[in-house]
Amino acid sequence: MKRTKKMLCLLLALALFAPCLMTAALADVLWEPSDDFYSKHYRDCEYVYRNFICNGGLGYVNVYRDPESGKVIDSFKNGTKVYISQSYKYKGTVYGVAQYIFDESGEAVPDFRYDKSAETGWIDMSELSLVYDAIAFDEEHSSEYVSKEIELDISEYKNLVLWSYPGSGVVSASIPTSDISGIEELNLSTVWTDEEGREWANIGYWRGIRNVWLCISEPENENLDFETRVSEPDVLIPAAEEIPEPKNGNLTLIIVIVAAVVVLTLVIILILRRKKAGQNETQGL
Amino acid sequence: MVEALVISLALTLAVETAFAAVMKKRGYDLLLCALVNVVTNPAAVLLHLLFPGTLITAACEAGAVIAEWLLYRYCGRGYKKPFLFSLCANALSFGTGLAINLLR
Repeated sequence: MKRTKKMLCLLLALALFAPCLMTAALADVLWEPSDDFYSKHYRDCEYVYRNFICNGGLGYVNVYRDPESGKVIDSFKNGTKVYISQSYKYKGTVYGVAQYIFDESGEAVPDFRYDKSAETGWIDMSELSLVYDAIAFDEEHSSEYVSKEIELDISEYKNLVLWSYPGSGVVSASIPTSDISGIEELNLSTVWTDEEGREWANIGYWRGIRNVWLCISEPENENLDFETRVSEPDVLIPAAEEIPEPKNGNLTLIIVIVAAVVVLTLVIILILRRKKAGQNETQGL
Repeated sequence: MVEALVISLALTLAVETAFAAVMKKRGYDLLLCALVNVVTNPAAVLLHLLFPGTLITAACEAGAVIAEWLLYRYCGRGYKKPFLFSLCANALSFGTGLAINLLR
């Protein structure tokens, strides 16, 4: 009896802790958009996971329900920031899937929830301009990286400021050194020197933070003075003042054609039925 | 979208008329089988494309089975069990489409 009770307690405890364990497991799972088309075609999609700025030729970009239907569900003015997680090539055009919600002012903002409560849509990626990011920085400057063994004595600093990339102006994390226990020195190996002569070290993974940069010349300075590497496209086509209503002309035409085919075929069936009935009556006479 | 409609109709016509031929439908009844599919398939596929989702697909398939059953019943000559015929023919074509999509 006691053993059964113990087992029941253990099972109950496991049931109570299961959500915690699942959350921990989910934390390391790559986020994916909650999009029906993506769910069906994820094998044919390619990873993107980068920010873009809408930069359509007409001053706006169309958001399609999926690459194949051509149905426009939304339109974003140029300058709107979108996060493209996956891309899909259809008839030579690469479409990127964006998940978004509309804020209080009616502007679309990227969204990363797991359920289906946010909007999702596909955008022709030739109408998007990439936002300069850590990957772009890496592509541009990786040849300038120097391998160097550095042991940074973190006890000398109150705070460590980690940047998304040198010159980004974006602080990924600011960690008080008092929170770091058991480590006195931080070992760094990849160093890049900026135009001001400051040295930056890349940290691939540390305390759950991936691919960040620490300015080893000024590790605790959150207000570094530098020329911010642009995160805007070189050429931004001015945003349209008014976005026309989505044109789903083809779709309307297709619906009309399908309806006509259905009605016409039904008429043919009824005519054939009458003829057949007439034939049978004649044969019967 | 047009591509999906045409491919789907062609596949359905091939599968369901072949099934009708196997079930010994000839002449008028075989033609009726083809025409009935021209009535139901484009409408069902269009609805599925416009409103993707399991529930809508299931409703479209059920609607197609009922519409075809009624047409076989009131317009057919040699359909002794029109509902069963409609159900089997639709299950076969839906299953074939599903298998092709999975194998793609």
